[in-house]
Amino acid sequence: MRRPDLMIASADPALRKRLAETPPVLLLDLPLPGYTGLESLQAIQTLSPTTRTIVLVARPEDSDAVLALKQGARGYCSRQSEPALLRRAVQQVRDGEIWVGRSVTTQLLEELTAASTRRAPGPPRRLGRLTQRERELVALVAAGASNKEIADRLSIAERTVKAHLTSIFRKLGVSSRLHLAVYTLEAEGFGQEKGPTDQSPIDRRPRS
Amino acid sequence: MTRITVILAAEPRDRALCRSLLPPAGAIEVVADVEGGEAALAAVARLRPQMLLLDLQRPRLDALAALPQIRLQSPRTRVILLTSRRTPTALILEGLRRGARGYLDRAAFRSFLLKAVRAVDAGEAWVPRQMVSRILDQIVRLSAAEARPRGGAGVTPRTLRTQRRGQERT
Repeated sequence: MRRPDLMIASADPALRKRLAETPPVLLLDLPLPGYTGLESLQAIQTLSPTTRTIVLVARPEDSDAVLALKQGARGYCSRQSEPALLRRAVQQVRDGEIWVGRSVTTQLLEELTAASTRRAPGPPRRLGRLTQRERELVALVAAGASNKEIADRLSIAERTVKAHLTSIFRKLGVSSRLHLAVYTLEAEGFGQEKGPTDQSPIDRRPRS
Repeated sequence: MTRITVILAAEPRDRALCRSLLPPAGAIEVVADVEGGEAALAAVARLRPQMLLLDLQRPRLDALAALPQIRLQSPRTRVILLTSRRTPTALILEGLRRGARGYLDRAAFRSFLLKAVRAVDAGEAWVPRQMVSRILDQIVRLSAAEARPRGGAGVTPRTLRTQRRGQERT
């Protein structure tokens, strides 16, 4: 495994040249403490979208790791890591996985929950965007009906069912039938007396 | 070691298994066992335990539906989802989005239940490595949806990559 010794600057000609070879994995050494080098991550992705980058830093910080990952890094670890460990990191990242410490995973989960709650107005409001016909479809999907069954039930073509579903998914911001079913469940009022869940004043900081 | 109070919300068979794996008297105490999301919510609201082991049973999705409310009722309660080999990844991700701190396949109860409870109680996440990239994808997608002005920005390498991965999965 080659280890390109890279300059940080995204415009660096050596980096550009090496990236033209589209290496599957890139170990990016960011030797300056406190400098996350996020611009270079984005530049790398533009120059070689298939390259997966592992960021090496002098002093790993969970919050820096999360930032780097959000900017496109696929791994993050100390530059003092044992060679054997680095080799494993490279393998895992090449295979599509993320290489970070366990505590970073915890932070990622918190990010995920926070991002989900920030987003999306509560289900009831969004359901209001659907047409009457779309709402009929949603009820059938939630009841577990297949496209064929829905088509028969509403006397429309299966193709039409699919078109409706695409529109529903887009309007509600869901990605699958299952997701849709979960969504409806919530909209039906499970625990709505507390108001929209996206406003919940949940403490997202890790407790000590 | 401090005491960890646990509520079990699962089918009777799994509850019995979990109970047998958690030490009967000691650091971990099962304070209630129930079945279904609604019952879990009621028990958590009443007892505010440190931990809830919540079965993510299909086709009933009430466990998922109860999660946001559980967080509201008892923010300190950490949730581990109990899954099976057949639990779809989408469902697990949705559970994590709703605040669960980890999940455990019932096939792994014997080896890992105790470890998972301790780790999550200590503030760690309990998810296998291969799930981390899915979690990251979700975060990126959600942040992109937040940041994107209506009409959408151009296609970036990252969205391309994310889309490609999405297609592989389906």
